Amino acid sequence: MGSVDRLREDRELSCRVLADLITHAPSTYPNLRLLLRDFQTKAEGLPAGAVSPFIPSILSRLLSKEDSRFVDLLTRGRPRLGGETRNRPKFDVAVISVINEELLASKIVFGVPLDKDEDYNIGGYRYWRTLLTRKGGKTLDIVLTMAGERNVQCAIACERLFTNFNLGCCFLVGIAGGHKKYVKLGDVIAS
Amino acid sequence: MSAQRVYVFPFRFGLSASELLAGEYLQSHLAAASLVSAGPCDLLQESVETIAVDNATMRTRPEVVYNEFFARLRSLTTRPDIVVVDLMQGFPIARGVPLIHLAHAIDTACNEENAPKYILAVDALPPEADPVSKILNDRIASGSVVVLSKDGGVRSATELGSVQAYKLKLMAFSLSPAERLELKLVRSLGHFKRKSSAGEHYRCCRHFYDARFCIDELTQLLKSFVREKFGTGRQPVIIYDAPISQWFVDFILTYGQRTGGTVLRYDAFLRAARRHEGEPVLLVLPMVQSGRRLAQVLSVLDPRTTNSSVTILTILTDRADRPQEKTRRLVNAGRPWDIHYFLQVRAQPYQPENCRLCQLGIPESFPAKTDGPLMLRTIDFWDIVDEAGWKLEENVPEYRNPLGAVPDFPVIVEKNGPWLATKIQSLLDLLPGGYPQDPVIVCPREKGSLVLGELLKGFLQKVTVITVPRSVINMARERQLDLSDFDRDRQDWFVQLSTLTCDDVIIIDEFNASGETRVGLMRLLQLFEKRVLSYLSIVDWNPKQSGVSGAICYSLYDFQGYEVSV
Repeated sequence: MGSVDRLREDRELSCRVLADLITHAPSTYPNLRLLLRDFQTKAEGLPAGAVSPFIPSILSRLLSKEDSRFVDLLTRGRPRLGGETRNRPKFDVAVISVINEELLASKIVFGVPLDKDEDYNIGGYRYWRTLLTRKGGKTLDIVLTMAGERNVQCAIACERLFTNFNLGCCFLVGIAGGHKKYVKLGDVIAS
Repeated sequence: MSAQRVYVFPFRFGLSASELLAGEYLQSHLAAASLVSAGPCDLLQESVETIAVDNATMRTRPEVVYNEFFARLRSLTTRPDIVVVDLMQGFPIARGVPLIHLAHAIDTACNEENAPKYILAVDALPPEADPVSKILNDRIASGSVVVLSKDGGVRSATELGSVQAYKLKLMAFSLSPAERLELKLVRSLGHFKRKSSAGEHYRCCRHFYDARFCIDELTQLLKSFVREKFGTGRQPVIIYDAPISQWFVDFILTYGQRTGGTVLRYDAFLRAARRHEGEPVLLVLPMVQSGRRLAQVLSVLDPRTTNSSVTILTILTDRADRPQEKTRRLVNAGRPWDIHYFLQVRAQPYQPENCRLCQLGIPESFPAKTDGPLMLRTIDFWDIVDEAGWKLEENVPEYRNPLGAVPDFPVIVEKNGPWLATKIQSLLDLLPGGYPQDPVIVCPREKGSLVLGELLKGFLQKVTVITVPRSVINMARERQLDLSDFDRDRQDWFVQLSTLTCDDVIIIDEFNASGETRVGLMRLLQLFEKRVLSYLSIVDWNPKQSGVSGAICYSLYDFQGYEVSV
């Protein structure tokens, strides 16, 4: 056994433990971000199949509506590694896409010039802001971003998004497959 | 009567760097000198640098000790009446030959005209047959030399005052054996499965306690216990039962060897029970939790010892009925038993069907094996963080933003010190060339690192710890440090680094974030022409950067948790 193997425990076991800790962390846990970072580090290099079983429970933990207290804590900002508590910009809607083509499509739909630099760059994640005028003249503040492929990346990007901005709601938007009996190219599916 | 003038020559065997001694420590030597002279004494030094003799020197050039003694004696500007040769804080391991050289030096110095009286202060009195005793016996008999030991032992031509034991205890700064046991007990975290003799898995435990560093303390405690319970008359037959605790077997056999008493394994006693009929029996166990195993033992032992009184002692217990008396009660087959114990500890047991560790698939841990990962397991790290709690970062270096909430590292070290020390030792074993012969540790002078440094000093032995103020690290990091500025006021870190006899050092820190402390300390050590063997932290928040830092970096746990503030 090489010295590297002697140093650390199996990464998949680490991910399993961290997923359990994140899922069961109380809403008052002082620094959930660190647990997520640890999960991200341990998941790096593991095949997607080894990590994906843990993602639903982590995401449900982060997005749980019942646990509003936690979401409130997370999004309002606490002392955290690498950053300070800040006043977060408020948006009515966040639109997340996974791949670049989907982001470009979102920009076109929401009227963001394709050559426009991002409005925020936080920890390497880029965000574009735009306004959508509704019937009656009211406007919606919208933020667009891209999460990147793979479930872990997506979970981290979501967590960053919720931490950095005060959001009304969030949509994952992108290309989907479907049964040709029920849908055809160009249809919009919401689930 | 005029006051006697006293000098202290503090030798430190097994250490690589000198340190400054002052204050209460020197005052305790003054108290010893007053006892020996039976009159007032004046200490002629406000502070004194220790004479460090590292392990390599002790092995290859032990005569250096002789020369250093006379060099220090010749350097005195005022003729002393008493010289205290202090060996109390050194390491007794392999000190034989250097100590003989020192004894010869004292013997030779006694021949000089108007020679002062010498007090040799050691951790334990040398045996009568020891060469050191043979060299000094005539000097002791003539009153020129007095030998004192940490535990109050005295070899002197005259009776010392009645307060000697008290004063000498003060001198040793020693804790009680029970306090030392609590401090030195290794509490390992793991997934320990308890099984009956039939192999039935009936409980899982989060902790395993190991008193391998406490053999002397346990021996003292057991001696006192036997004296208290059995008097000085007929000594008990000691029976032990320890299916998994190797440390306990080592201890109890050592106790038997040291005291000459009868110590038998439980099953061996059963075979020879008739031979010991009527003799008092002391059943000693390493740990009693639910009492299930003890009940099994008693159900077999009780019918075989009908004519003997059986006393039960456990080193550790997880519960107590009468903590003031250090006893707990166990009822077995309708008969109540008082179980005496030395220390109550936390066990955190789980039923197998509700065991969180089994549910997560954590592999079973085996106390006697070392095949687990050398770094902390994920569950162990986050459990000790939860236990210790969080706090806002203190002593934030000025070159980076605060990290906010961080684990309370001093508390982590306080609660898990001995276990972390064994982990750190295992990591240092991986260094090219293995564990250093003379480990020298340099760390920032901040609470977390200081606690860690003291821990390693206490457990790994032979460790020299040098703590450097943050302001000095910052100056070194910015390449603005001029050593000549410090040569004038001779601060303790400067004295230690400039007198360091070995070239290789290890940097330790409670955690690594930006890596700038490591850079600062590495640059500081370059100025003293020292080589950094390794950088070691409890947690590395920035392992990607550590991997390209140019030093061999080890940590007990790591993940990419640090980012530049946004």
